[in-house]
Amino acid sequence: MNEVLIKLENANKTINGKRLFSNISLELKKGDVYYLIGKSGTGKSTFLKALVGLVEFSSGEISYFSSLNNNLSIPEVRSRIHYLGQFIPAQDLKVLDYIQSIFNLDVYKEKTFDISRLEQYLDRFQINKDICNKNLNLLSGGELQVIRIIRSFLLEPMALLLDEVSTGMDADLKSKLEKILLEKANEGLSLVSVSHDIEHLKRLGGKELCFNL
Amino acid sequence: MNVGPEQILFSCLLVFITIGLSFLIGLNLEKKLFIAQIRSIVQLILLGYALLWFFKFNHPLTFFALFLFMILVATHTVSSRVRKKFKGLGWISFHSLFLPALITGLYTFFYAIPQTPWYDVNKTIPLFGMIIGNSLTGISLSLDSFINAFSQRKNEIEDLLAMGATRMESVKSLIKNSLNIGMTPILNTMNVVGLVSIPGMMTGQILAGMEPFEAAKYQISIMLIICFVIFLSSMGALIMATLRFFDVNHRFKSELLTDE
Repeated sequence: MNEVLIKLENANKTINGKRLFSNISLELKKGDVYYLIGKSGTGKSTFLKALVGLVEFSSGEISYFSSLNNNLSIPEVRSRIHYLGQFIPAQDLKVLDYIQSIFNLDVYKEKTFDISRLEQYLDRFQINKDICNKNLNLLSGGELQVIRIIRSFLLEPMALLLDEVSTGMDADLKSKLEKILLEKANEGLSLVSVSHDIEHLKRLGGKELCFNL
Repeated sequence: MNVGPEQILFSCLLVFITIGLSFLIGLNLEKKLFIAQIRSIVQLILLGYALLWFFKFNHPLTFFALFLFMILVATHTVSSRVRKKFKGLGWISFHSLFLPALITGLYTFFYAIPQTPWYDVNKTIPLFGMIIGNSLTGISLSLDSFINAFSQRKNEIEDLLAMGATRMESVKSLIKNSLNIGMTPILNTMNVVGLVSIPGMMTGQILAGMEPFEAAKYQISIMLIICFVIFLSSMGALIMATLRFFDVNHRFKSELLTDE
């Protein structure tokens, strides 16, 4: 039996009296691929954030890694299920430091940063290694998203919640990203994607979760 | 030193020049400057008489009443100096002033600068004035910069939280920055004291005939105590603000920030 990462039952969300979504249930297992569709304003981004507790559901039951005996803390859950959001951290920081510093977090104390793996991923996206010494705020939108995704891959999460990650990527970069994501999904990485780019979602495939309620 | 009423008018003239300049270049500080000026004149004159009156009641109750009064005024000031308002700001201001000042104050009156009796109002109240006044500056500087950084660097914080940072880890660099800002005035003072700035109280004591070394000893203790209390109260305020803005599930409650 495949391990259940997230089990969500009857989730609702209302903001200031306005209902976003209601009665959403989801069982995300190892290797599952989902994509969410629905008009804008139906709370797809909010839903992804709420899956890892960055936003609260108004009601509903959620549990993580039910097969594990011990309860994981929220940071531990988030270290295994990465939410890659639209927020762009345009900081005055070098790409290498941005990637390396995340390994200092307590939840990753078992992991070590390996620069050769970073370089392998950069190769796969055909991005020059010089990018490591660039400042984050000098990157294009697409490059920044790739850097954040690579940072995620280096930490080997079990699931990725992708919120408009292909924004700012050209067709070429997008297809490289899709290829890697599908490869990872085959190896057991779970994916849940939100995007206004329907073609991109279709190429990733998987099950549909409809938000037009 | 001879300061008569006319001489005070000369000093007031300087503020009127500032007000005039503020008006000319459109700083909009005229009203604030005027009120602050009137307040300092009235408050200082009243203080002299009030202190004389209070010193007649040398009793722990007077000690605590005056202490509480000063804390409340300081709380109000901190709350109004932090530019981004949020629910709970008053609570944080009060607690970050009250506890560190009380702890440091009692430590001072029992050990560092012992008083007999420990509550000796005419010594402890001026000391409390320095302790609370300096905490106030430290807290308002560091808290203001911290809350500002929250709204400007919201993305950075959420990025870290999403990757599994705890709430404390997600604001660690902001706390570091803000504490630095809060500590800068006292660090500057400690470095130039005796070279550029000459403590008024120490000068007064020497003029009043105290041994220079005796007067210096007193001043040294006060500086160190103030440095400690600024650190403690600013740190306390920042930690309380972090707990206020993040819940136990390490979620950033950005909805608490109201735009004025």
